[in-house]
Amino acid sequence: MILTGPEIESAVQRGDIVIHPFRKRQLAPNSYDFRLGDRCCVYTGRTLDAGRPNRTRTFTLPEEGLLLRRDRVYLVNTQETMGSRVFVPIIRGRSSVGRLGIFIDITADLIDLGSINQWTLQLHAVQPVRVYPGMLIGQVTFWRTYGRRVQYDGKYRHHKSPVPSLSYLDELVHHE
Amino acid sequence: MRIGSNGSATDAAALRYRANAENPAASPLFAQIWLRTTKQGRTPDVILTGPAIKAAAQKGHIFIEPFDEANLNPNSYNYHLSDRLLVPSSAGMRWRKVRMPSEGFVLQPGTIYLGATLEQIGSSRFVTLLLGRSSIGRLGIFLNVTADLGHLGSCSHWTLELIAVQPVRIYPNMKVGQVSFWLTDETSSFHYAGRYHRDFQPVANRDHRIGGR
Repeated sequence: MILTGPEIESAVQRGDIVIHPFRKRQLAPNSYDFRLGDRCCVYTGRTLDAGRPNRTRTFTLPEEGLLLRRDRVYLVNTQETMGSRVFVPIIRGRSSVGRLGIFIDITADLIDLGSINQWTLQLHAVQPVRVYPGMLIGQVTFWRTYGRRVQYDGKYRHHKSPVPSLSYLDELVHHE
Repeated sequence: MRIGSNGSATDAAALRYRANAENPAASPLFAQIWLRTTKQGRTPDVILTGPAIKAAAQKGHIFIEPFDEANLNPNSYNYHLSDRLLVPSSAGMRWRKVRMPSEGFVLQPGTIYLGATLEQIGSSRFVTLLLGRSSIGRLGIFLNVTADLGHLGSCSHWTLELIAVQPVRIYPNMKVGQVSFWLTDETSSFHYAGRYHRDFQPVANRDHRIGGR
């Protein structure tokens, strides 16, 4: 089932969940609130291509915040390093952030077991809105698994977040 | 019984799936797991790991066709994008059929495109959730519009609701998303028989009626 806040805390103490830094006041009844990091990556071109590398620019989010435009994707790291080899994390925005029309992921909320990192958030704004580094932006929940566990060994493992899409490394399948 | 196209491997998988779908009470999986885990003094597990997805597919509890072990993740399975798209025409809610060429197709922001999974996916045992991959989210492509929950017993090429934040070129057969599978007490439910349901026969998107969830 889904872990309660106290279960998340004891799993962090046991080492079954990594949340670093861990602040108890960010614990919710059945999730943990995480913060927006300060590194932002945007694509410099207007039209992107899933089949080849896209040029990007990475900069530090200023203290006075960044005004998100509606027509861009902003990749920003989570301030916390998070993950688990035991429980499956699922992320979502906080309702306070959703009420501002901010998506924090773009239909990619499920994290692989063993993906322990500062995760790359995919920020998208419905109307122009200012965000600040260090703000509480999202929640992570943890779910018990059924079956033998294997760990993430994918292409984002050795990169420092935020990482632009590496979809061009995927091979296309050709079924008859 | 027309799951899959041809070939004995597909037919055998389809038969296993059908047999399980018709009689889920024969081995109430959730009840066994519930009993075992509560006896151990803990709450039951819910999301299937990659190895559990593989085992369930082999047993016919999950139907994924074609199935390739290389697409297993630690707790999900990767699906691919078929080459069929429905593009809204400017004249109201009419859809134009587009077959994506191998050079790809550029999605424009501000509109919705309907795509489909290359794979037929479904389960009468586990609840299926559909999501995108982070590689695709990082390009600003939504794969569904808050409609990620599948029905028990539904098995089809899933319809994808593609929305792009910036113009982006996509390609047929590319890996776009993932499905995860969740335990439930399948014996106390009923199977999907809604308007996208055709007795486990998916509505092929080759006739451009996009299948269901």
